[in-house]
Amino acid sequence: MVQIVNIKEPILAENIASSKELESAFEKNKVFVLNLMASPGAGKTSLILQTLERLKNRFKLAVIEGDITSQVDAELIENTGVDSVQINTHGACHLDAKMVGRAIDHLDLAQYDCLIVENIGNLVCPAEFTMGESARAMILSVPEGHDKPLKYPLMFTETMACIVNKVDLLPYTNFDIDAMKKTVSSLNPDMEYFPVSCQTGEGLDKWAEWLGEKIEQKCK
Amino acid sequence: MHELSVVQGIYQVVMQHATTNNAKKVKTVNLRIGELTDLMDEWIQRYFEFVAEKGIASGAKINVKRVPITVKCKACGKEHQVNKQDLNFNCPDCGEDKPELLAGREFTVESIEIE
Repeated sequence: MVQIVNIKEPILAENIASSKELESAFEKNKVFVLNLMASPGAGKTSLILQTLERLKNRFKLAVIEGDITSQVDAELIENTGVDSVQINTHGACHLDAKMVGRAIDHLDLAQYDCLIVENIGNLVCPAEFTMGESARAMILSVPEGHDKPLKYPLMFTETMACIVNKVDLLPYTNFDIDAMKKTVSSLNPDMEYFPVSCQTGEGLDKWAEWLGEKIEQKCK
Repeated sequence: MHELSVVQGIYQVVMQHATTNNAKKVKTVNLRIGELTDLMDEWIQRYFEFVAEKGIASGAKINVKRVPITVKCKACGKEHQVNKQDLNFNCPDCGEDKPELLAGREFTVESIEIE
């Protein structure tokens, strides 16, 4: 006999539950968690290194590095004196709450003010998987083009900050920041923009100040 | 690869409810997916067949009901649907782009048909 069972449950129910557990743990330990997402090569690691330089004397920071394979990024972070944990997904194209949960087992959360999670280089899947984070930010780099919000709308609706990296390359491309902002504002009117260059240093102080204020609000 | 992670999630939800209801077979899985989420129906079916191969959900048909993107204009209150191809969120009545998302982010297993 055929029977219909009504379910009406989120497809990602398990990740949502794990994410809520993480959120509680971060809240309890007053840790601000930033989930940083972008395409490969957009400048996630560079931005994190520049951010650490500006904030590591003010806050106790740690970085969770997500890559399909290799320890390269975690080693770069460790060289700055900041604690880091490397997650290798061996094929998965995004980090999820369970993976981050396993990574924080290596950290004593109580001693940190802020965790920066560098997600896998990917503009599609990471947007779907929360990890108990306090804020989600994404980097769009100038060579990628200003039409990306149309092609990857979820990434732009799911984040609160858009760092436009490699602005030193603007004279060599037809990237139109205003056109990009116009598209994004219809998807996400509250998006905040940070045009920066990890190469020249432009705009990075403003970005670090914004993040610093967010960390202060959370952990003081 | 994106569809595979999602399908594993679908499979977990399906099997949890199939088991609770003592199902011998899962014949159909009905999903509700908003158009802001980028997934291809064909690949959901293919990956589900792979993930469910050896269990009671093997051979289940996946039905995807797509939910159009619907927004409400915060300026004038008009509700309107947004075309996924051009993603123009501007209000057709007053022209403002102050949308409040009402639908389009759904991502649920609605029901299953079991024996």
